[in-house]
Amino acid sequence: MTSRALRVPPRAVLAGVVFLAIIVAAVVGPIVWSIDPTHTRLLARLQPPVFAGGDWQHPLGTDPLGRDILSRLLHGARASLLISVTATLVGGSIGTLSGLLAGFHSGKPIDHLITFLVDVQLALPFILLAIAAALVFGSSLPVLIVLGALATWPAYTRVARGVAISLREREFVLAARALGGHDVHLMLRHLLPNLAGPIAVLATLSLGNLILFESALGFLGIGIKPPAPSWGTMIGEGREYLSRAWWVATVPGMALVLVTVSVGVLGDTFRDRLDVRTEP
Amino acid sequence: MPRYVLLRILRGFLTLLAVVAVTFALGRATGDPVALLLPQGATVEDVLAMRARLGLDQPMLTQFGRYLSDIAQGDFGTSLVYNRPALDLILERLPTTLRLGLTSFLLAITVGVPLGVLAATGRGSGFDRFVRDVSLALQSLPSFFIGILGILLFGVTLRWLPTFGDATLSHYVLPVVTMTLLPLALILRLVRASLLDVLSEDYVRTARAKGLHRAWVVVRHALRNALIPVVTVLGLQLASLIGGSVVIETVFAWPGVGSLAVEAIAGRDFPIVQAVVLLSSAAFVLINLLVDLSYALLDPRVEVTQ
Repeated sequence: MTSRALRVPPRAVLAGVVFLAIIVAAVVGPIVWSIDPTHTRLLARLQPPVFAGGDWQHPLGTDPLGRDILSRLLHGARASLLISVTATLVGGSIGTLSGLLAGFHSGKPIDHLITFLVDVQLALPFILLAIAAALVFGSSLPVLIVLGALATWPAYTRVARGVAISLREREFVLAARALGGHDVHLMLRHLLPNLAGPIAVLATLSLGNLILFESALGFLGIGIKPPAPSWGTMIGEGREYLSRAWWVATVPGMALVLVTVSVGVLGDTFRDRLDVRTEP
Repeated sequence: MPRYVLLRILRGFLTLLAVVAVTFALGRATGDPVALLLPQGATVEDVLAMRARLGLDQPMLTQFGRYLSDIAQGDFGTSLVYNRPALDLILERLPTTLRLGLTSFLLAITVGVPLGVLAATGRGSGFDRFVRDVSLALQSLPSFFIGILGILLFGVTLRWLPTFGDATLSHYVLPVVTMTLLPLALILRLVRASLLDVLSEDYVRTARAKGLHRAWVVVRHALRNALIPVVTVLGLQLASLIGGSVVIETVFAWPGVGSLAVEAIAGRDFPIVQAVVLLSSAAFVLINLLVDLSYALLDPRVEVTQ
C-alpha cells in the first residue's frame, strides 16, 4: 500500500518537470532574453523559426509586425500565469469559505443564499460575460482576474459545502463544540484542514481551465490589451497568416498545449491519488 | 403537484430574475448607460430621448421595473450597429448555432457512450488506458487551437476541407469535429466512472449470479442506472451550448449567435451582448429546470437537492 501510494507515474513526473520549466521560463526568461516583445521591425516581419530555416536572431521567428515571437511567448507566459494563479487564489478562497459557511449552516438562510448565488453564477455563460465586461469596463488585468475568480468559485463552494455537511456531525467536531469551540473556530480549525485535499485537486484542475480561459479571451481579442503579449492574442493574430506563416499561431499554440496538458495530467494524478470526486 | 416540484420551479424563476438583474446592472455599471446604449456620435436629442426613455432620474428600482417590462414585451434592446431589435438579430442567427451545436452534441453522445461502456467493461485493459489518456488530453486541450491546427492541416496544406462559413455540408466537418472533442471526453469519462460504480452494486452481482450474460447485464441492468449522472451533465452541456459556441464560431467564421456577440465587440454594440447574455442564461436555467423536473417524474426518490 505504502509503496503504491508513493509511486508517482512517469507521465506525472514529466508533466511536473514541464510545468516547472514553464514557470521558470516565465519568471527568468524575460530577463535572460531581453528583446522588447512589443518592438516592431517591419523589415524583419514573418521570419521563420530556427527549425524551419530561420536564424538565431529570432529563434522562434517573428510575427506580422516583425516582433520577436520568443520574447512575446515568455512575456505572455508571465501574464497568463499571473492572471490564472491570482484568479485561482481569489476564486478558491471565496469558494472554499462560502462553501464551508453554507455546509456548516446547511438548511439555514445563509446556506440558501450561497447556494442561490452559485446557481446564478453557473447560469451566466463565462465567455459572454467576459465580452460584456470588456465592453463595459475595458479589458485590464484586474478585470480578467475578477472574471476568472467569478468563473471558478462555484466549484469550490459545492465541494467545500459537501465535505462540511458530511463532517459537521462527526465526533471530532462535536467534541470540539462540547469543549466550547466557537463556530468560526470549528470551521477553520476542524473542518478546513479536511478540505485541503479536495481543494488542492480542484485548484490544480481549475488552474488549467483558467489558463485556457485566459487564452480564449486573448484569441477573441478581449484579453490583456495589445500590444502586451498574450498567447491567446498571438494565436488569434496568427490565424490570418496560416497559409504564409504557420508558426505565428502554431508556436504559441504548442506552448499553450504543453502547459494545459501538463497541468491536466498533474490534476488527474492528484485526483486519483487522493480519490477525490470533482465531477457530479 | 408535489412540493419539491413547486420549489424547484420557484428556484428557477428566482435564478432567472437574478440573471436579469445582473444584465441590468452591467448596463448601469459605468454610471452612464446612455454611452453604452447609443452609437458614438449620437445627437444631443438622441441622448436626451434615451435618458428620458430609461428614466435615469427615476429610482433604480423603477428603472429595473422598466427593463423587466421591456423584456416581458420582447424588447431586448436595439443594436447600435444594425439599428434593429437585438432579439430579431439573435433569432436570425440561432438556427445556424443550433445546427452546429446539436450536431456536435449528438456526435459526442453516439461516440462517447459506447466508448465509455467499452472502457468500463474492459477496466485496466490497454483500450481502457488508451481511452482514458486520450480523453484526459482532450479535456485539457484548447479547442480553438485544435480548430486552427485542423484548418492548417485539412484546409491549408491538404486542401480537403473548407475552413470558414457554413455554405455546404463539407463546411460542417471541421467545426463539428472540433466542437465535439470536449463534450466527447467529458461524456466518455463520466460514463466509464459511473458504470464502474454501478457494476459493483449488489443487483448487478445478483443478475450475474443468475447466470445472465455479461453483456446483457451491462446493457439491461447497469447502464440504465449508470446513465443518470450522465444525463445531468448532458443537460448542462446542452444548456451552455450558446456560450460554448462563441470560440469555435469565431475560429471558423461560423455565422451564428456566438460570432454575433464577438462581432459586437468591435462595434461596441452593448445591447446585442446584453441580450445574448440574458437569453443564453435564461436557456441555461430553463433546460436545467426541465432536466431536474424530468428526474422528479422518472424517479420518485428524487428530491430537490439542497
